[in-house]
Amino acid sequence: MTVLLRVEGVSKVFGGLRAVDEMDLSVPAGTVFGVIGPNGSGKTTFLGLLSGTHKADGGRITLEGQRIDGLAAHLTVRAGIARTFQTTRLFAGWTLGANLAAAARPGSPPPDDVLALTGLTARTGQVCASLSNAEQRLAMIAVALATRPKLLLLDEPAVGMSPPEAASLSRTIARIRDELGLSVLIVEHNMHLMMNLADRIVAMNAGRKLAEGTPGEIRSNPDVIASYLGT
Amino acid sequence: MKGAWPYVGIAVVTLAMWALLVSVNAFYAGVLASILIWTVATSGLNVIAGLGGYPSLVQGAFYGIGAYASALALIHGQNLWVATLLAVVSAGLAGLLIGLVFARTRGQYFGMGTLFFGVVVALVLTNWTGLTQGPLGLMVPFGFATNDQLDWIVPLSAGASLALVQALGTSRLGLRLVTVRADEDLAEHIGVPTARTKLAGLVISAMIGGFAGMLIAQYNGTISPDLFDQTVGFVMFVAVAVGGAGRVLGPLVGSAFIVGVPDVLNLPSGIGLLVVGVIFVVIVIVVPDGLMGGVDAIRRRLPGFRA
Amino acid sequence: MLQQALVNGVVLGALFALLGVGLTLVYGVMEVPNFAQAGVVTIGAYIMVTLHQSARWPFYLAVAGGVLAAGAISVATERFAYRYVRTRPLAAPAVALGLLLILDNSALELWGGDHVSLTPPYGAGLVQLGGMTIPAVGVALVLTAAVSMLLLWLLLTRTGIGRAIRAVSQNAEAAATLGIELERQYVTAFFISGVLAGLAAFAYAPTYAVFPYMADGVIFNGFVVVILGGLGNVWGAAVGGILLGLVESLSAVYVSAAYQTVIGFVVLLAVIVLRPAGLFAGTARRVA
Repeated sequence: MTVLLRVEGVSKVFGGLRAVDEMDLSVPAGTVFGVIGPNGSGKTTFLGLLSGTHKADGGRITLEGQRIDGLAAHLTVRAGIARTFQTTRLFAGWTLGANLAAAARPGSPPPDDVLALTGLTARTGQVCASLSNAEQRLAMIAVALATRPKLLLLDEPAVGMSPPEAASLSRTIARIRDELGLSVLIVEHNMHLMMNLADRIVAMNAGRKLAEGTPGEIRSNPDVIASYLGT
Repeated sequence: MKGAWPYVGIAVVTLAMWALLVSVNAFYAGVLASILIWTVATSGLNVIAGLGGYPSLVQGAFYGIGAYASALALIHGQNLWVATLLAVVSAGLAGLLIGLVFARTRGQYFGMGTLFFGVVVALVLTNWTGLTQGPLGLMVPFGFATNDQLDWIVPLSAGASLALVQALGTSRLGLRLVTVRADEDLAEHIGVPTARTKLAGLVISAMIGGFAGMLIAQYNGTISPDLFDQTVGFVMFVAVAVGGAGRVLGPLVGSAFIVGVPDVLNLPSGIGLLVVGVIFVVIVIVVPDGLMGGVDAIRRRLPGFRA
Repeated sequence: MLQQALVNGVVLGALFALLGVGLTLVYGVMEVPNFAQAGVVTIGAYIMVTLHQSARWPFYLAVAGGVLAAGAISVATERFAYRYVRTRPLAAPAVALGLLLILDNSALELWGGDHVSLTPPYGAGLVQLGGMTIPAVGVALVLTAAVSMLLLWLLLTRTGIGRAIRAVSQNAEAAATLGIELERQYVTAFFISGVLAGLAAFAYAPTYAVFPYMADGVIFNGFVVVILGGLGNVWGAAVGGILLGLVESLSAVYVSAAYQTVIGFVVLLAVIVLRPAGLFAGTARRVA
């Protein structure tokens, strides 16, 4: 399997706190990769380092062999990494179609395809603020897809979703992997969703990588269990 | 067809302004010409402040740079074409300089930074007496063939600047500026080069401001630093806000209010400015989107109207 | 020469600090650039002059009246205007300018455009200090600023009122959930800012004369100070004020008096570009 994203010894310090500490990770093309860990373990900061939201203090990040650490957010998007946010962020006063248009660039998939994939075809003319929570979270994914990424970063995509909505989200993410061939990196608290969806999972604690493996391996890893129990 | 209607509207407004300018008496023609020249300058500001949502308080300086550059070119024997080109280019360069320094800053820092740049330009215009003759100001050689030419060039310039902002608003740069206004962080995360977008917006604002400066120098016949100090930049920003930031006709409506109301009421300057102050505060508080936004809000409430 | 420039710098800096601290306090709780504070200074100064010279109040009583009036006017700007644009940062500068026009031109209508003077009892007195001669009004300015800062420091750190203001400045939503009544903190911050504006009027009117636009120029320096210190950082503004005063006064002597203000702005530009969160970023509350 070809490696899409390679992270080597990446760190981020806020004040005196090492939010992310010497992280290593390789994400193969066409996989769903889960990032789990207790609150404050550095998952969202790690995601922010990949998306250019934060600048790493050390280490290197490459996408298809090209270094992307240190790039501004918009250049990271152009390099092929798009992200969603924990709290819903859309141009809320605009229609979904206008949001997609703002994200489009040469070579982007047609808006209709993105809308069909996320199940939002009927919502394209609707103002985003008027969509339901689950629809807004899917809309964020649609906007991210419209930037034509190779790697999609999802920060807690299932927040506030009902179990059926989360199951549908899970199917959508699987289709993004299988039909578009993208890699997806997900930070998510919903363990059930993560265990069923992810091809591989990395567990973080205190900014460091605690363990990595298949969902089955992670579930039975004593260190991971201990970190969640708060020892 | 929908795409052409705004331009038809702007053309009609422009024709109406021209008709008004040539038919009213000299006093009102003077007021109207000032309003229209301000419309050019504030339309320029409408690019960075209206579309981009960035509180640029330096438009008065671009206006001044354009006025002085064109005046100096004419004084040194150049023709009006060269003078106009120099006005636009030198203001554009000033915009580029400010943009390079401040395009990475956000919100209020951008506001403060641009405000102070305006202060610096005013100080230079006042103190570089060898070039500008300081507070005394300059006599500006008349570059047009006849006085009558100004009567149609001024309204045409106002109409052209409104049309330019309309065209920009639907262009890719315009769309990018609007994403910056709506949510700058999100814009970056969907791939918008925000710093470069703001830089481009500011340079365009500056160039249009410089052109307006050439017009006011020609119209007035004399220029002095107090016409272009930091207060002017601030008041231009207020004119855009009062008219409705980002709305194409906003600068015309805002300029009419800010320039026209005190002139037409012809109040003593103290009371006049006091009234203007009250009007700003009330309009900004009562109609959040400016006067043009207020018009929209009223239309939406009318029965049978569908947006 | 150098000594004299340093002394001038400290006097000027004390004035900038007085204005800057009030501006940054208001910015901290409400995020409005309160240009109208210049108008509050002006009206405060005129009220002092009127009470002292026309109503024949004793000087210090007239000053106290002016200071309190300045506090009240500042509160009025919040109650009648700023409160409506709290959530609209782009509207705030327009409202600030409108208020400044209203206050300055009210002064022009009420008191006319002539320069008048506020003469304290120590009026033309001189103080000898280490071989230098310093005007008593300058000494009074520095003392006023120092005492005001000390009292403000005690208020902010040692009292419930101060804690509430600081909490709102850190995070208004969080403060509200802790049961802090936001409205009262806004009013308090504007009152303190107004009182500081009144004190600034008392401190510098004797040197600079009283007229309707007396503070419009110096308020810009107040904003430079606010940015130097980091928006919303009260101690940063106090230190930034003195720094700016020194830089401007030294550059007036060694560079050019005409471009004194420009030098101050160059410092500002350097800070905005190099340290956008202010010189004292560690304690500043916001990063651009």
